[in-house]
Amino acid sequence: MPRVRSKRSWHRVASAATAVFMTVGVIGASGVAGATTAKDVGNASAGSAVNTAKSQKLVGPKGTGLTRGISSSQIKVGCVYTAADFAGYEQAIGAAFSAINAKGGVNGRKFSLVPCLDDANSPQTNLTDAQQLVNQNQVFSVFTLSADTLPSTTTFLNNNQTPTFGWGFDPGFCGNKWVFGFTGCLAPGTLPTSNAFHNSFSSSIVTPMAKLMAPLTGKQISFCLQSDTLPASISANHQEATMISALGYKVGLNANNFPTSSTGVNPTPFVQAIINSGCNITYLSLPFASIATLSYSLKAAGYKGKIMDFTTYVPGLLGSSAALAGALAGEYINVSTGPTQEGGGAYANSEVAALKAAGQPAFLTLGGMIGYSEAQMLIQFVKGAGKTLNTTTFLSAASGKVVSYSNQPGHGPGLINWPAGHFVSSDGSSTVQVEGTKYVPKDSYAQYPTYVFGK
Amino acid sequence: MDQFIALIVSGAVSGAIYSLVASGLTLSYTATGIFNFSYGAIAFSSAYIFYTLNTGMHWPVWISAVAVIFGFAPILGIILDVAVFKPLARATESAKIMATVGLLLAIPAMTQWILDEIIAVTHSGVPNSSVVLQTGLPPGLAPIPIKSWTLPFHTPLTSNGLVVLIAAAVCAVALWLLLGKTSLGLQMRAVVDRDSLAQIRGINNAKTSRYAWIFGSVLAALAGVVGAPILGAISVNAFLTVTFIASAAAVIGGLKSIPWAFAGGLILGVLQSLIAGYIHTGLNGFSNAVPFLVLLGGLIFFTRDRSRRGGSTADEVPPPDYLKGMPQWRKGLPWIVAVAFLTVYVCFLANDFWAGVMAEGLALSIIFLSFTVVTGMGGMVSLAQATFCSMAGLTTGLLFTRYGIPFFLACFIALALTALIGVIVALPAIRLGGIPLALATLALALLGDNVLFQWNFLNNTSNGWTIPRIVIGPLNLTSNRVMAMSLLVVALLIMLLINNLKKSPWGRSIAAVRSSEIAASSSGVAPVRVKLALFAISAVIAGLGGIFFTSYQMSAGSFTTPALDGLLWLATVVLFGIRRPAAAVLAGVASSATNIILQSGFHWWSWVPSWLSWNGTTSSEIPLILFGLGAVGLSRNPDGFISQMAGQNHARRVKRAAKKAALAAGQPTGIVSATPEGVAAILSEEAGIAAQVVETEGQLIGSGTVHGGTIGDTVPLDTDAVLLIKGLHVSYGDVEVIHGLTFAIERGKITSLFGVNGSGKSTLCSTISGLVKPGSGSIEFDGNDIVKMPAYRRADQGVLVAPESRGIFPGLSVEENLMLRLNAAERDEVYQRFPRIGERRKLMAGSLSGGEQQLLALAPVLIKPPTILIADEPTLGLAPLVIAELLTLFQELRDRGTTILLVEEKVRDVLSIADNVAFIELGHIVWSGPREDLDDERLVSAYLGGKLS
Repeated sequence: MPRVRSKRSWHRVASAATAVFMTVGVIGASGVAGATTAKDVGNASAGSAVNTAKSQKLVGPKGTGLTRGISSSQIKVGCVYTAADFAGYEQAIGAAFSAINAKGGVNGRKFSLVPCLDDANSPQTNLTDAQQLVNQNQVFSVFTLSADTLPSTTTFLNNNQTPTFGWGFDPGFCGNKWVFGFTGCLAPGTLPTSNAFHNSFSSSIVTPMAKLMAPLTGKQISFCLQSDTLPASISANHQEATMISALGYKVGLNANNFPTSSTGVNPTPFVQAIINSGCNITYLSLPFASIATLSYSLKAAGYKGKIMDFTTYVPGLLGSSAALAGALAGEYINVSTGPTQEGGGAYANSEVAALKAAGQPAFLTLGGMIGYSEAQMLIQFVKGAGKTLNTTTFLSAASGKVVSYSNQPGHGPGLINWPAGHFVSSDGSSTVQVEGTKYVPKDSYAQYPTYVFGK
Repeated sequence: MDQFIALIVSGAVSGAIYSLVASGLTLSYTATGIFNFSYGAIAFSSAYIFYTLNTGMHWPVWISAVAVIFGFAPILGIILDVAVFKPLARATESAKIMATVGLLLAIPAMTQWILDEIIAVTHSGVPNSSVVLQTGLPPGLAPIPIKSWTLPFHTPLTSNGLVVLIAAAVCAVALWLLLGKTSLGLQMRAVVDRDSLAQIRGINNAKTSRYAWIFGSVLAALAGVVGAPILGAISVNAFLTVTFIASAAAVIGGLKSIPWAFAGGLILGVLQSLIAGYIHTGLNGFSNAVPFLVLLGGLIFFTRDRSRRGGSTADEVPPPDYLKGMPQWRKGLPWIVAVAFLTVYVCFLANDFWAGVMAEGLALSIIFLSFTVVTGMGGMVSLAQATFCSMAGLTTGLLFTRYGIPFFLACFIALALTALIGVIVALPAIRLGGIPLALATLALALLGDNVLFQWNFLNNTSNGWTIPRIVIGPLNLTSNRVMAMSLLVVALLIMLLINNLKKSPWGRSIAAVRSSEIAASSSGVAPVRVKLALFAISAVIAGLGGIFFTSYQMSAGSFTTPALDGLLWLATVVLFGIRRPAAAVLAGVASSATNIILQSGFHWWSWVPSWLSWNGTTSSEIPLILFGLGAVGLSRNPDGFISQMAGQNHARRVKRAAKKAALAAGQPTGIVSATPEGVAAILSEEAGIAAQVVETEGQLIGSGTVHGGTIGDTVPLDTDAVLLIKGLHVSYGDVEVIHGLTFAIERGKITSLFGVNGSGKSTLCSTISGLVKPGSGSIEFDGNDIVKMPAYRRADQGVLVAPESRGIFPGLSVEENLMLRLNAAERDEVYQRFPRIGERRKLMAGSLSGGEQQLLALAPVLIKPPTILIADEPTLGLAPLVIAELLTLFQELRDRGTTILLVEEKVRDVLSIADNVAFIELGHIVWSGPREDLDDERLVSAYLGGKLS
């Protein structure tokens, strides 16, 4: 029988050869070219198992004398934040700038704020807004206040020598040369070196809470911690729980399961869990809207303990929403962003005065306190840089310096060392309580020492 | 036990909100065929306005509620019906989705923007959007301070919760009464069952649609007002989530049954609550995922898909190709110009930032091309494209960053996995089509977002991965310019690929499966394989675009391309044109650029007058409003605005050329064609038809079949015509089917009209009934031209058409079918005359035999005789005994004074009762005259060419 080599078998050979060639080609090409990334100027990508630095080094490029956003008469500042969560941020920054500009600015340069961009709680928008501020608006510095600041965003700003100010609980605020948390680095455990928590964030929460429970002490005080599922919240919870145990109190519940996109969540399962654990003080680390619902539901279900959060301090809001005031009745709020208007004091009063002078409503909100403090820091650094202002002079002004974010020397509550502030926190807090439609101060603002525990 | 009851009660409260929205969704979908994603937006806006009136302006609660629920909502429903939904009724599925997504974005934006402007202008101090959106615990209808009761088993119930439960109960009863017991409800159900039949039975479907939208809006508004305090905030996202969960409930009702949709909402609420309370998995977001699992399961197991799989009928006709007949270079010209312009701009004119914007836009373009493949070519609406992007981006990031795998290999593996996900998403497409398929893909996408991409391993504990800009040989993609140009090349390559795909045998398989799966599989094409492959290809293209997109951003996370972006993207591509790859590319670039342009405004060179400059707006609302307007615009031309532009150009060209050609040929200028050759072709075709007709006439006379009577399209002078048709021209698209027909139907006689398939018989019936509009000519009914009269009014005037394939509503009962035209006494007459129908009065009409259905269709005619009855092939498919009964019925009608036109293909039966006879061929009347003038024997041999069967 003659063997007939049909056309089909040739086709099969050809296809197989092509497949082999393609596979080899892809692997080869990726071996040759694929691994090449653009010139690597430093990568603080959190969670990367590949990097294990052995010593604490600041990541980021040295200043190269850039004058983006700087002219002889003006310093351009950009701003991106979550408007719905931090009302008053933009107004307070504007008020701080107006106050310094009224005195002629710093070395003849006035501060100009590009209207703030709202990231609407989207990390993606936050990133693109930051890119736009640098690339298109050509700002010198970026102010940000958002729960959604990605490492990519801070890396981008860091790589572009853009001084960035924010609330330091996202990983990017730790260890980056150009990124400054206004109370230092609050995100623990992100630095490869630390098993230790060099952090006062927890002590500024746990200690005031325990104080509220007096005369109860020790194991008589049982904490319930309820947070959402954001990594920052989970790690904060972990910190607090560790600290609670270390200080001799009891952890009744440590739950990180409240859905993050949180409107419309049925609070009943969470209420039940808290009540069943028998704790006498509950700390809520949740988005604003959920706290009101959960607080109310707790009380309606018969919970008799204290409830505390750090979010629902919005002066002016209680008066306009009777339902909200009712739901939050008796709530304790840990305000860690500065002294409150109700608590008074020189710093708070000066902030309020600045707002009034700028024609803004004289309410010092959470966002407003942070914005004002960030502005003070920038102003202090720029003063230190002197007449020649560029990224090099700025950076040297921001290193090895003690900065106080009070504008009344010697009376400021906020003291933070740099560059240490890139690695540790310098946190403080005060406590207020909701009574009727007012926030009544219960504990005045104080800075808490860095508490080192663990190995 | 306590916890169990507490969870059930609180679950029922959330469930009640879902029920309200689900009922509205089902009501409007069944009545209009449009699945309204924007109900969440209506609920949001209602809650927003209620808050502004009640808390901001201190209006009393009940007045605010009435103003919103019975004032704002119905008005909004009417506006939407007129502006968007009515024109959209016959559009493709993707156009409908696009329009409702556009509204979903635009309605909240417009509400906030309009109220903010009013507040600013009036300086009234009423809280504006930045305050309202921050409000926690907005008030509802219950008085403040909120009361709370403790029911048995330590179950707390707040006053707001009670209000929700009561509202839901009231609505349930109201809906049941409306649909089951009122004539409006019956009409709505008839329209849902068979829309065109309802119209010719005198039901104004524009009216029923409008009511459906009004009721739907009211339900959504109620859900918003009573639901806001339960949800805890006035937030678009919260109401959007409610809409998706309500969709799951609507699916439990099979997208048809409102009571089941209602129950479905309650079930889902309770289920969610119980799972959150008792089941603690390590999976993040699991309890969020439950409704989407239910949605998916319900779609696969419960939906009886009414639309054809693979698309809807509206999809089958591709949009007219306006450039047909033009030379190749002319067809490509606009796009060549665009590419050239883009190249020049990116390389020379744009600064680095704008080059980046173009790069991002082109990455989006590649993602959009995936829509062209699966939806434009395959006719399957996929709302999961964003999932493919996320999958590819995250996997690449994971492999590259954590495991150090070389970039290209990481991409390759990521795309392979994405293709696998594509196949998984494609699985529902085996059984589903149209809206159910779209919802299934959305459910999978939301599952992806809530479960798969929340997996810490894949998303790097929510921080995402950093994706680098790579260097390939001389191409350094760190430069935005280089990246933009490279992406342009990639996009063009993919466009070429898609165009080749369309023309390839494979492309023909896709078109075949889209058209009719059954026909395709009997021709040796495997529909399942085609669909899966199509989704896989689309997934790979989307994944590729996703990798480029994340590479441009240098960041890949679960948040980079959330599932909802997929809706927005589909809407954008449909707006530009889903079938054209080039339109997808343009859409990508445009969406990237538009946002930035709106924010930064226009700043020209110094010599341009300053009033042409604009500082832009950081308002996030303006782009959304513009998008919404685009949605409205789309409803005017569902093929997308590029097609609309092309259409307008084409119309202009045609007018010009037709006039020129017609003048040259000395013909009237009504002929439609773009080129002189086209005009000549039409003229010659018409001549051919005329010649054929003349030949047939000659045959009829010459053979002695007819003697006397009237030849051709003329009317004898002394005819007492009930219906007089003069010079009727009817076309479907570009194809004319009736060419200047003139015909008179004599009063009080039975006229039978014979013609073979394709002669224009059914078209004539449809034109008389009003379902088809003639291009020119008149139809005079008792002396009045009714051409402009809508179909439903003709029925009332006395022109009744009994269409082919039984004029009954299979989804209504026998009794309900009769109720549409007859009152109780008249129905009893029918039952007496036709006992068989009387016995079956409670059964669904669809379960009757063919003969019984035809009798049911014609029975009301006996009781309330119209002036003229036109029956299209009444004897088709019926047994001889039934036919005999029918013919007796017709004679009885005629004796009572009704004029009857019987349009038939089969001659024998009808001939026995006909008074007048007419022949139609190729859209012309060939001969008409009295029955006596017709010779039966000769008719058979000469005209029909065979024995009288």
